[in-house]
Amino acid sequence: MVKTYADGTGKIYALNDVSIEVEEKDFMVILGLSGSGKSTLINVMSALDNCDLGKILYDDLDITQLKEKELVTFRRANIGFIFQSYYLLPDLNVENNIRMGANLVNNNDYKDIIEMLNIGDYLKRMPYQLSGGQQQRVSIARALAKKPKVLFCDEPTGTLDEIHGKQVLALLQKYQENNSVSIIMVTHNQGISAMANKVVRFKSGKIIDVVKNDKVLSAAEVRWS
Amino acid sequence: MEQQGDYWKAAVKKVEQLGDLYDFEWEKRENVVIQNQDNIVRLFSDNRKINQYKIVEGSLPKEKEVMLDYNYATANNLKVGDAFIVEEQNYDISAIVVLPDMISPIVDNTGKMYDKKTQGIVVMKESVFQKYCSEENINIMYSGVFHPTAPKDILTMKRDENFYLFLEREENPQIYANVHSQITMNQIIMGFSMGILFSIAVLLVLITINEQIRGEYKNLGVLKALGYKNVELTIKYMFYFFIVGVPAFVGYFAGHLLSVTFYELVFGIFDVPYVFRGVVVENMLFFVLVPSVVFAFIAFLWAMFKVRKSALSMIYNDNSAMANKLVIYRNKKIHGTNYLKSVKSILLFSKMMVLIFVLFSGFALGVQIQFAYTTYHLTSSIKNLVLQEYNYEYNVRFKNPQTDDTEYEDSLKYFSETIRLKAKTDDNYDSLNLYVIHDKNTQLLNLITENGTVIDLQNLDGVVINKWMEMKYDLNVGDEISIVLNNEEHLVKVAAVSQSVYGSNIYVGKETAKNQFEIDFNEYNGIYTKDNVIEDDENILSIITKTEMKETIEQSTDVYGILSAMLFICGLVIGTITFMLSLFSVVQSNRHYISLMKVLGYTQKECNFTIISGYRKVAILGFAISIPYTIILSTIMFRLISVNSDMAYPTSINIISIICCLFITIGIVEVILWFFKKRLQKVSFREIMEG
Repeated sequence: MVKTYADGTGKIYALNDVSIEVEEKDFMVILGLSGSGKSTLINVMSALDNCDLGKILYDDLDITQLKEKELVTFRRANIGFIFQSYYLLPDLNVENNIRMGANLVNNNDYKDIIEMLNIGDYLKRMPYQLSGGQQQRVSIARALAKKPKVLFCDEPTGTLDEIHGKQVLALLQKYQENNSVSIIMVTHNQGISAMANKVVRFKSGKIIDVVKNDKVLSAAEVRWS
Repeated sequence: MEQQGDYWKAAVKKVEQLGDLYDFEWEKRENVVIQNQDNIVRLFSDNRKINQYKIVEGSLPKEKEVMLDYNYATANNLKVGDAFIVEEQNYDISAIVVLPDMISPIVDNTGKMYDKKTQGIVVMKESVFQKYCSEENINIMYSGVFHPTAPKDILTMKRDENFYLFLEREENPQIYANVHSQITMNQIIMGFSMGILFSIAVLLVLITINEQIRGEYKNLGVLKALGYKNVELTIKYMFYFFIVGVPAFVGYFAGHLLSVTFYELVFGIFDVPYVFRGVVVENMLFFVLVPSVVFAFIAFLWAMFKVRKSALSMIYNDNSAMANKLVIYRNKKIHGTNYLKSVKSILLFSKMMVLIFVLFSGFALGVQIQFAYTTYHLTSSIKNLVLQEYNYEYNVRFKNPQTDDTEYEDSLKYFSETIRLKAKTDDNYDSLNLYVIHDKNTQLLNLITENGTVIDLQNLDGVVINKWMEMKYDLNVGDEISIVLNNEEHLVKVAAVSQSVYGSNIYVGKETAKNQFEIDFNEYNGIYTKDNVIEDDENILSIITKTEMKETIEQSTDVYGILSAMLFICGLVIGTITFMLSLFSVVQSNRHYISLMKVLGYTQKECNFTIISGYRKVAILGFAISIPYTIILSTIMFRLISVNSDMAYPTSINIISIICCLFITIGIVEVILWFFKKRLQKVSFREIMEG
């Protein structure tokens, strides 16, 4: 994949000849400094942004060839997102925020997700009544209620302390154990890479290396940095 | 040139006696009408003391100078300093003037319709004027004014038949009366229509102030915690001086320009000169400065009241992040399968201010469009109702009563007399015309009731009044009215009410008149006819054609055309701007919503549905509220106008007009929604993905 943009002085490569492969049930961590292009990478991979050159294949489907409406349908059926800033909708209570995801795939049975994330006690609360960790758990519930095949996480623990951060990671890991979902996580927290079976190091729009971990640690075991 | 005849001596003596009796000053006013090339001009001298000329531009005339009336000068592109010829004598134009009584602009004695291009008024020095006067051509009239402190026994004067007509200042002369009544009507309509808009505008400003403080509450708390004093935090709300003042200033001048155009159009219809007074500083201060200062202080004081709490309380009770109770309640009520529909309603209620704004915009559109439509519809309705009465082509008035048996083909003879009608509600007397219809065949005068029944004038036991009189004097069929004729008061029964809404004519059959007034009306002084009567018959005072009557009615109805256009534009502008600002605010404040929904996989259509389509129903609800409001208001308003003018304004609930207005409103709402759907489309994922 190649993705460029102009900054007034010339062409900047946000993605420079990037090739990456994600397998089913992969937990991939993309590590890199701010401005390295890792967010652009997941935007392109998740069909939110276009690349200038290259293909993005989901099985045999090249999503770069899809029209806007087809892309919406594709994203609706396959992609989930978790953001650093949660982005809960302030006028909807916890349950209705979760339904915002579930509704897309007509999923009326998301009790197990609520149970797993331990948010059943505050379903009727409004987002402003929750702590940061609680809000991120609701954000995860919303993403998972959509039953995505690929879950993109953009710095999901970026605003959380170690305890809450590890709780969130543990929940994701637990969910993946029981479901056929690939997780692609962008982070600058190197410790989290020990949880992933694939680690991609990114710098200036290029992949420096891809490391496969034979041994994957649990969330509780990772060294928080 | 003095008239020395006995008639004039007697007339002058009579005026002198009346002046002494009722304590008013009077002066004789002479004028001469001359054919000046292709034009007709009425010459006056410049020596009047009562109702003096108003000089629009220039100065009083010298020996070889004249002043011209504004209409004539404007229509012929004549300016101060230009040459003007009167009967081959050259003059310079020293001034352009407006005469208080020139606005009765029939300058020809024959009663020919006024035309400002060919009929003008020329004012010259007394000495010059006298050169044009002769015993044959001079016209004399008297003009009077009460002494300011004179005790005025109006009632006695009104009954005194030495006065041919008794008109209030606002009614005199004819054209001014028309314009004045139109202005009064416009003021009533604007008062009703704009009063509500003004109230809502005030409400909206107050809500805006409150919402701004609410939105900044947490930040104010933080600043307070940092050590800022209350006054330092709230003084910025004095900025509302400019927030209110600048639009008020722009609005004031826009309104000024619009009103100039409006009055030029209205005055133009009546061929009355409209002289722009310029910007009145006092008005500007009142309409711009006062609201600016008041709202600035309200904002400041309200903010001071709000920040009286402790810093911590302000930070932790951040109102802006809190959902209102209705939103919390509606969140709990989402159970059904139509999730997006429920979210849509939650989002609607989460922004109460926007909701009120949109409701108001629909209401404003509804009120103004319906008012405009009602007003416009009135014009055709009034014209039809009035003209239905006239089946004749000419109304011929004779100088003296006729006793001969001249047979006019296809005609209807009548005797017309000015009478005084004593109002039922007070002791006031009004001047009306009594028409005693001679013939049994009254087909030329098509008197019909509101239900369409033909009124058989000769077989009625009383007089026929019209809808306007019914409304104005609160009369019904069977009521007795007091009519003063030849200084005698008669009690006459109202036998029927014709559907006509205009005119001060009371009709009565010859036989009925004989019974009611104990007078044999064997003479006639006018005929309605379809024949083309020869105009130069010396016996004829005037001939009014149906076309002229139609034109007179159209003058009034044209004003309503302009007024309805004004109301329509006002409604369109206010409603559209409010609706657009509201939706702009909706799109701006929901950018994250929209972006997130798109990221999650919602389609553009679903985003539109959830975020803005709910406002369609709110706007239409505003329109629905405007329907009873407009009906009630227009009924009250037009009744008020009818009572205060010389025409009845028939209003009724017109379903078709409501449906038409609804479609116009829906059309406008749909166009605005379409525009904002396009804006919504431009909201990208980046709003979320790039934080």
